[in-house]
Amino acid sequence: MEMLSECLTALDQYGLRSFGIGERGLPGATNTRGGAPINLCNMTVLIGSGMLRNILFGLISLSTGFFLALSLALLKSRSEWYLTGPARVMIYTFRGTPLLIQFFIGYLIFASFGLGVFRTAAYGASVVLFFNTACYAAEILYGAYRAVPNSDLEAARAYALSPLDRFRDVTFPTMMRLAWPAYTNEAIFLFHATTIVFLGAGFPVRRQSGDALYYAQYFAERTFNPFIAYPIVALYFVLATAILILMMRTVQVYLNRHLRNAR
Amino acid sequence: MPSADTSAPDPTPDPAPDAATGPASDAAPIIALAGIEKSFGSLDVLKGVDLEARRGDVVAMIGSSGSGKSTLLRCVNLLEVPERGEITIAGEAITFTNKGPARVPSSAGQVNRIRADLSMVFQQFNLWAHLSILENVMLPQRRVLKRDRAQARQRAMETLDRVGIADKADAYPSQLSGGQQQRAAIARALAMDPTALLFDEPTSALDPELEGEVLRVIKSLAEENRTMLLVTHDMRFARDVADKVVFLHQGRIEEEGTPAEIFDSPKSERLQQFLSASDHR
Amino acid sequence: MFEYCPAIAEQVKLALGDEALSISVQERAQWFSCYFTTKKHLSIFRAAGVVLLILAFTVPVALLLGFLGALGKASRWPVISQICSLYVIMVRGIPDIIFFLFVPLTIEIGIEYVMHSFVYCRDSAEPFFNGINIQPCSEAAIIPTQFNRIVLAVVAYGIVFGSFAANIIDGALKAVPFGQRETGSAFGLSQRQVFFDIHLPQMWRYALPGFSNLWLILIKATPLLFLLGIQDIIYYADLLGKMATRRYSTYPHGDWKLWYFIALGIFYLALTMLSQLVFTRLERRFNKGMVINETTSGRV
Repeated sequence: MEMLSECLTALDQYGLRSFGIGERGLPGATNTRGGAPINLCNMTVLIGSGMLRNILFGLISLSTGFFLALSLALLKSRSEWYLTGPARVMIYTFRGTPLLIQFFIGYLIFASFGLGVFRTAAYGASVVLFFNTACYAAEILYGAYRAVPNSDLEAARAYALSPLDRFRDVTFPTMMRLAWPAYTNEAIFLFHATTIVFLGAGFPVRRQSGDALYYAQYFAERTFNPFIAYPIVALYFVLATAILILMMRTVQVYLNRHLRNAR
Repeated sequence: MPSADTSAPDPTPDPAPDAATGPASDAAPIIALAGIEKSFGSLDVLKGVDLEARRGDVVAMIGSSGSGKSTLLRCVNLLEVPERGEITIAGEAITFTNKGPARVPSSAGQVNRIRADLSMVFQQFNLWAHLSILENVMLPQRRVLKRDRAQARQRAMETLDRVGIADKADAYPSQLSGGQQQRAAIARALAMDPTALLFDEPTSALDPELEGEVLRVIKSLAEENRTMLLVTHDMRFARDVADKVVFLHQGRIEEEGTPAEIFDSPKSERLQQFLSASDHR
Repeated sequence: MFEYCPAIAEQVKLALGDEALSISVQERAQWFSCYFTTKKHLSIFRAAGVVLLILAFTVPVALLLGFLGALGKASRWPVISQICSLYVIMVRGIPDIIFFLFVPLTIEIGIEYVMHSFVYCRDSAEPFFNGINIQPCSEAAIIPTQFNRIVLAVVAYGIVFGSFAANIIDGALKAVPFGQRETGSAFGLSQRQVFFDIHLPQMWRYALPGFSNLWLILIKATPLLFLLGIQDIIYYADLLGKMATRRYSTYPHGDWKLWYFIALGIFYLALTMLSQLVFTRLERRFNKGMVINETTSGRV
């Protein structure tokens, strides 16, 4: 029972700490803003609040990136060189270079805009993730686009469907169905990649509001004991990934509902 | 004696191991299966089957799909293990040990030995895709019979020549036609110098034009007095080549006899129905 | 370092301070030729070498663990089978960066524990575990040197990529058509012979696309070495790109970090391109008529 009340206070103090809401001092902090002593409860809660940031980053990047991905994929499939060229170059560059380096470059570019240190970090990270996932997804969507059976399109043409209708009713749905498994993979990797944002790619952290890994590192360093903090964040991720996969599978079943026991 | 068919791939006959011993007269059967029962889950595929083949016999097994003929063949070299029944190959009985409801062969060594002696030719050819034809024919010889490279190669070239594709020795299976691949598979089987050959619907996966070359090869092997078990859909071929025909229906042997008996005067009604349904093939 | 370097360095420094003086193109070229060959700069090339070295060592470790994992998953003993099944899927659920941080730390603590309890502070009253904290006595504590860090990084990378590899090998082993293996048995080949002569060689064809993809992921994961405290190329790019004043450095320049990182990006692109070339060649050689689709994406 004491455990429970301890955990409830921790939830109250640190539940949204990663967004700057809640107790100012982190557990175990030794400076003037020192917070509560470190215990299992506030570790779990604080790391959990960090997870919210990861999830948010992931969701926003994935959803906004999708539209750019679609555009890039379609551009890449055209025959005009001035359309395919830039698309291909962009996709190749973002897929061919490490994410961390992209973060560094992005941050440096944003810094030169002079927006103030913290805004730079937030915008820089989001923009980089946006472009990064867009390019990986574009490659997947492009592959799916090419895999749409010609026979389906031929039938559409034979029935005099306009290009827009053809795309909307034939190409796009089939593309999504074919791309979905690979896209699930991409979503997982993007989600995992959000942990890199606060890891010292030069992104300064405002008022110590970071992500799950940031807090896990904080605790591991304070206690010199990684065996509690890291497994906590690992378990959070296992859970979150499992939920993500479940959600993606539901969509997959929906997309394939017309196929009986698809091989 | 079957008529001489001298068209295209009719290469030099292989000096078969038993050619010198004359007509089949040995009493003890080379292959003897007794009381074979086999189920897959709740489906009983074989319900008590006896089968015998003496030295030099060509036994054709016919029946509709699901009659259990392929399963029976696969019991001979233990690719399927029957729950009940005895299997004796060249006088050696397979020993089993019980494992719960089912049973398994007691000795892997015995199983491998038996298999080395009974070469199988599959419906889908099953040539190893990552090896050339020559390597395909050499591999089992080297690994199982422990022949050295030169020996294996020589025997391989002999059998490839026997089936008429010696010139394709260095090609890969994907580069050959279906008929060529199956002939290569037959060469691979021959190179093991087995006591008996097992054919599991050897031409079912082939286009009609390609069947002929394979059937010719099989027939020439039969003429050499080899012991062969042959599962087939091809009635004409069965009549042409077999010494004994076995008709299976729903897991039991409905009728067996010489080709003349089976095809010209079928006794059981089911066999009559089957023959009229599968008519001119 | 060339002979004219000290002179040209001085000259440019003066020119930077005085607006009236201009620097000719030739002088610029000379200046750059000196700048890029200073000792400090050569260390960035050495760091690139270290990265490649780490890659070279990680591959065999990862392959070995991958095979052990995939084969162990099919083992008869349930304990081994369970552990290996976990190993095979662990990187799908947990971001690899967590492993990169966790594994070296764990190994370090493991060694420190052994040192503390059995070697140095055996009789001391200080316990190793103090509630939630860990405190080794001073003799047992490991000093993190570059070498230590690099070794631990190879281990960590090996474990993580071994898991990815196990995933790939598992899938590839399953992808080999059963008929191919069955035929081997039908001819009397033993289990071991079937595995090494038929199953394994054919597995490579299915595994190769996955492995080529994995190699690219591995290349792009090397910058994380920086986060493990290793002085890799990112460290040096950051260091050298920093603005250098005329007062404290022989070769002053502005904030060139952006250029340095772009150069790093190009370095990785080149590595990627080269790798893709090699793999296309390899795939052509292994592929005698098999078509496989690649569906994993991944980046770090």
